[in-house]
Amino acid sequence: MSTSKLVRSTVTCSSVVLLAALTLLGVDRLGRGSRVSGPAGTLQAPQVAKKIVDRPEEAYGIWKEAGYRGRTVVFVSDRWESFDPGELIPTQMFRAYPLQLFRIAKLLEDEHLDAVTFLYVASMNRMIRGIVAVLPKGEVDRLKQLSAKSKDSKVSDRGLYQTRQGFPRWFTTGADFAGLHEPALLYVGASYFKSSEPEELLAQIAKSGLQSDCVILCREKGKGGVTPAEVAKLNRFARLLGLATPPAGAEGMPASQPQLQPSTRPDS
Amino acid sequence: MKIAISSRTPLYLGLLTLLALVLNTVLITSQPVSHDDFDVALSAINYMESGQLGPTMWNHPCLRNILVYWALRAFGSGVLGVKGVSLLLGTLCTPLVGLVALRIFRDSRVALLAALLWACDALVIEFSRQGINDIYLAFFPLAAIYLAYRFRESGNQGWLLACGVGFGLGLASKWSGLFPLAVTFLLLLFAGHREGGSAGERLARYARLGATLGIVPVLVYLLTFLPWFGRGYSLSEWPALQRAMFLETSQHQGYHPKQWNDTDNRAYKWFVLPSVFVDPFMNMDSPDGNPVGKLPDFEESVTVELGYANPLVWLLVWPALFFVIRRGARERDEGCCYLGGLFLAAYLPLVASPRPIWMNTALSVLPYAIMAVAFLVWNVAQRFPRRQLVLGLYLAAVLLVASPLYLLAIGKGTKIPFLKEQLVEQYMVQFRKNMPAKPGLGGAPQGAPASPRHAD
Repeated sequence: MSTSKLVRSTVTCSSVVLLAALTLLGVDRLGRGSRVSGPAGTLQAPQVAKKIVDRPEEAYGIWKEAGYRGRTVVFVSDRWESFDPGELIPTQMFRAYPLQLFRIAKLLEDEHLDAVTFLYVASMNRMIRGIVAVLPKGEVDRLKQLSAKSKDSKVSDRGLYQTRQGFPRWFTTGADFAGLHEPALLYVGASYFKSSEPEELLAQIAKSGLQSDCVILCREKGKGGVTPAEVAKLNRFARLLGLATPPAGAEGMPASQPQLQPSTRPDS
Repeated sequence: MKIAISSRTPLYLGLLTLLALVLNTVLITSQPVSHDDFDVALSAINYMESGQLGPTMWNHPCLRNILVYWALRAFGSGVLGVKGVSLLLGTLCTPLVGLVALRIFRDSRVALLAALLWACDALVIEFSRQGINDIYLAFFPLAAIYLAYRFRESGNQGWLLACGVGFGLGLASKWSGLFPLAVTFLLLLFAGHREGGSAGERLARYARLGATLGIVPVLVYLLTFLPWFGRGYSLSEWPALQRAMFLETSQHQGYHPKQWNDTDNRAYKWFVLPSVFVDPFMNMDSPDGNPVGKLPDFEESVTVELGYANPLVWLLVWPALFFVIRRGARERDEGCCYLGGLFLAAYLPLVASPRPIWMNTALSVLPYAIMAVAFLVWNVAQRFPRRQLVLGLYLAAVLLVASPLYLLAIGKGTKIPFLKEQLVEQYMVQFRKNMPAKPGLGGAPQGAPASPRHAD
């Protein structure tokens, strides 16, 4: 091997290694830079946007309007309702050229957005990239049992990690919730207060160190088993966060809340 | 390493490529669109515009989504948009088989024979005419191997870099691209070792090889996930996705329960028993036109595509492989050893897999198998006094068998009464028997036979 060949080999090698390092950095930056969030803080911080809604799908509308992208949602409710996303996409029996194609995310948003599917629709529309579900212990145990059939799940004392087509989801209890390394979109459903008190949940979240830029409190109207007692507790939780709660049934947005103006910035 | 190519070889390879193009495109506009074809197009849009894997074959890498999406953008949602990539790559596999066989055996006649056997293979034709990416498993490794040989012939590092990119694209099609990559890496390592030189020179060669065939393919693979990263995922979250994909792939039992007797799903059978890839589907737009207001009946709306292995080729694979390996060992023939390694590395993991492996995956092994068969047939024919006649008779027999298999592969088997009765009817009967409801009798246009999918 001549000296020039040796030099060329060394240059090739170094270039590939350098290119690899730049690619890794670039890809990571692209991912983190794709996230869109707003001013974040602890739940009681004034800059955190807080809203009370009647139905879960309204949370989707708020997230969409605010332009959130690539976020992790902390979903607090009394149960995790399963459904088969495959059933939502019609099997096309007429497939003549040119094919009548469509964007699945748009189809789901237009035709299948409801109280059960809203998180899935948000994931398909790039708003969220992961879910942490905070559920009562009985519900987490039920999901742990079901996960035995899953190909990708990890059960631990603190909860369950389970993916769906590579989409990451964690299921845990309020007591075991360990927070996140980034600000999250927080959704709290009234049904959660069947088995927990507002002060207890707030303490658990505070202990976890969770930061958020958008808190949605949902009365979960129409959801079986949600009584005025749970809605009253939700209102109490809202007051703990500094929200003035309107009468049940009316949409609430405290006048003092900052307008949602998400800014693109990489989350750590 | 220099290869002498006769002046007519490129011409013959060109003609064989033309033959492949014709076989891959004849009647393709009248071939009904399958569920897979449609789902491939949907998945391409879903991936490129939403960064989501799936809905179909979410556990496989993403190159198909990218290529099909751009084909859809360029050509619309007609045949070229949906199947254009497979048609192109499937057709280009024919000259690649010839060019690689030429480098391996240094004999243009064996190379041309291999290219002909490849071009006429029913499974190759079936998957060159489908949107799904199984034909990529043959194309990208073959292209990379060809580029590796160009590097060895010229010493130009650009070929080696291109080889790494080719293997990266192979990996980004399906992970089975790893096997020919590993064998080619070993070949080049061995070749580099034989070149000798000082310790520094050797080290430089090994490092260059590690960079171009170790790092570059991984980078290419990683870059095909850019739309997914665009959803907000960081690099530290990527291994979890790869793990989920791996767990699904390693335990995969099919996306839907099969509505027919699914027996050919073990790789060890492929070259020992007559095997077939079965693909029945319904499309309510009957190929002959669908009069407004009248839904077609079952017979008109069902298509059965059958990728039958040509027994005159596939059942020669093991003897051919034995012949190739023996030649490699006895004569220290690098090409034969390499081909034997490529075949075994690509095939044995599939044989050992505990999960079902359907015959579409055979396309990752078939190029090497067919090259070995061509080598065997050529050498056996040489032992006869009238070798051209023997070879001609063999080829005539292969083409005779390939003709009906071609019709079955393109879904026209039901049009030929004999083929329908002997080979297709059984699948139609099973398919109809397992239909939950008779199509065409009421229901909304999109009313589909319930296809149980992955429960959440």
